[in-house]
Amino acid sequence: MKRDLLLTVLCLLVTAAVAHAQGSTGTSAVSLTVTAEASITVNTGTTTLTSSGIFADYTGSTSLTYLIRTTQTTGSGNIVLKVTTDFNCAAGGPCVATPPTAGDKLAYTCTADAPGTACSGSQTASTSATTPVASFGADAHTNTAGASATVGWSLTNDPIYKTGPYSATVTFTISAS
Amino acid sequence: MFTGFQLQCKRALIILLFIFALASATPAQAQLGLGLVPMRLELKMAPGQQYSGALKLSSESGGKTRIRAEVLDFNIDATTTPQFERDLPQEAATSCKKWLSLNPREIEIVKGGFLNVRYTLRLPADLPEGSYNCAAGFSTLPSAEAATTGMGMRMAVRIVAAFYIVVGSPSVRGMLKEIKLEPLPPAKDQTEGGWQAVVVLENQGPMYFRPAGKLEVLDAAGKVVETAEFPSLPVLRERDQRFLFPLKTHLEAGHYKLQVNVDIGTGEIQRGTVDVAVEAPAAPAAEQK
Repeated sequence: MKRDLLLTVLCLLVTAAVAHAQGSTGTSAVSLTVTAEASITVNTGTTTLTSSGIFADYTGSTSLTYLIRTTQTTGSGNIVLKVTTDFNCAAGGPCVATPPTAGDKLAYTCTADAPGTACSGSQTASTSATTPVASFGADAHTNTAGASATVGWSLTNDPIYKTGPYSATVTFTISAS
Repeated sequence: MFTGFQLQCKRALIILLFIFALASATPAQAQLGLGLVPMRLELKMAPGQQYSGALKLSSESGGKTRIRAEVLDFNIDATTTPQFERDLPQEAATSCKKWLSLNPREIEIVKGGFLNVRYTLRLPADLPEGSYNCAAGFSTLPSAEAATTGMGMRMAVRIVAAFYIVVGSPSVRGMLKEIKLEPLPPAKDQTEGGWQAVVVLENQGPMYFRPAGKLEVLDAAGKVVETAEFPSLPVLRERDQRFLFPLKTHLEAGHYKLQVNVDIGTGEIQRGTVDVAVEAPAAPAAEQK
């Protein structure tokens, strides 16, 4: 009798232990919300413009790497640029805001790897408005290494420019609208 | 005493250390980068309500980066390019910039680091129903060392989060206003330009919308020669917004139809068709049906 009771108690204890063990390995819901995000990297902090011939335009290029994820149905994104600090116009060199000669300009062309769509044709950079580099539609994704874009610059080499070094600042903006 | 070999090794080491020191002292060539999440926030709020959250800003730069945070107005211009500016006077009535604050405003992030930037929106108690938009921008600040020699440009990057605040339950009201064909200038190294279809949508209400639909180009026989989807651009409240569709198809001289089917978010499909004539090299004449 004692032995049966002992076995019953032992059995109950084992059952309880198993039940407890099962309870402690229950499931738990994990949820997250994946949102639109992006990054932009200019691969070199400065771009030098050089002229390859007598009064040939100054040219150079700037390369970018971007990562983007836009929302599935209502997403859109852009990379744009703007000349945020002009060349030293007062020194008699190139000037984006008020070119010394009509027709002088800082122009550029763009390339962009998928999923970006590069700007079309030749664009003219401005100090007063941003101008396009690349755009993205809804549900656009790069891989983790990112995608590349380049901007090829062309600055008029006007004989009227006074000699000397000249530098401007260009700001690239990435956004989702 | 050093042997000749030891002296050579010592000189090589000094040269290597010099090169390393020089490379470390020239951040001008270093990459500059920023990352941000989320990039867009759409919040439904009540007049007088306050709301706070965080934007995760990361540095993708090659070194320590100084960043400035600022609140911005924004709109989408006639070329569908977003314009983010400290002050766009024409947006003053519908901008949420004045209710948005960011903390901190001056930021320094180490290479590969990140920071949560807190944003707070405080809406006025008497704010009328409608949608309001503004943005938070984060710009790298150029270092003094980032000067160029000769003719050159210093680079900076900015990353922007767009805010859309909806107060109350404003209805979407808008219409398909215009469809036309415009010539495009020739691309570099090309003599002949192309064409782009332009669709103008008018937002008549206090609520922004994002259209969905397509534009079709049909030839004189009624055959579809090109189809393009509407990009998911916002049409901000109370304005006309141009949508551009640069055509990939070379249009020979002749007659074409531009056909648009678009839903501005009301569930109703708005349709429009325009006959256009391409008379190279003259500009096309258009007549609304």
